[in-house]
Amino acid sequence: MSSEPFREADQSTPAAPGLSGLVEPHGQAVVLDVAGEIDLATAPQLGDSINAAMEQRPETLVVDLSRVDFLASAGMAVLIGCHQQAKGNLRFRIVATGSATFRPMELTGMTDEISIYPTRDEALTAD
Amino acid sequence: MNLGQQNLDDVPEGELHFRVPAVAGRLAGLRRVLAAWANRIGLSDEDSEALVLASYEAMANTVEHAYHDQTQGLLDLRGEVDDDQGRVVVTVTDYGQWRPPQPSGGLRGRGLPLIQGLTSTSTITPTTAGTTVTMFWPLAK
Repeated sequence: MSSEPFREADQSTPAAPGLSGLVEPHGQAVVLDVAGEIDLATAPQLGDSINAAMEQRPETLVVDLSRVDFLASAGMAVLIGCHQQAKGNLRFRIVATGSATFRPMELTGMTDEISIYPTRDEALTAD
Repeated sequence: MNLGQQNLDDVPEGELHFRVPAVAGRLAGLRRVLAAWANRIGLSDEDSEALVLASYEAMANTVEHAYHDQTQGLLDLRGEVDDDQGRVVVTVTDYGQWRPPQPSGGLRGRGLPLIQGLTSTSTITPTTAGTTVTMFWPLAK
């Protein structure tokens, strides 16, 4: 039992753990290596990074979520939006495994809509 | 108290209750507190992760939808161990307007299905005063 059953949290904003997206060219493909947490606050940043990578007009864009340890539905909405935007222009692929990223996408049926690969190599080499 | 730097020792073993402004920037800190709490009460890694994500989705839903016509709203996050029933209960309450998910080509509205997929049982209770999402996970024997 807590000594203080109710607490008013203070007004300061906790330091954002943030999200980083590193663009790496791989021949005709571009890999966006994403690390951090994708939530309501950082999802727009993911969208900006993907759009910037798309502007390089690769044949294939691989969004690698291997180093992402939290994925909320706000992030999934961004990924679905980018996937729809990519249709007819480039191949949009996601790398994700494990419970933090693959499981939420599986639970919401997103794995049926977007090509998701367990490793970056497979995403880059699949036909 | 800085939620982002809260020690595990500050996380209560039994009941948990935070009231914060319903804004996106406040949720990451609460997520960390929930993760520490879930670990402390002995949930499995899988259930802890599910509890953190489902609770986050419920809070995010409040931030995005509950107070759309108002400048500032509050949300309450509560966690409780129910030993009698052998389960963990998390509730997220807002005091705004409940709006059913809008169909929009699969872009939005994944939060509630996600909550349902991550919990053994969940209920959404809209009232004129606000909405409470209640989520349950079984405690390990």
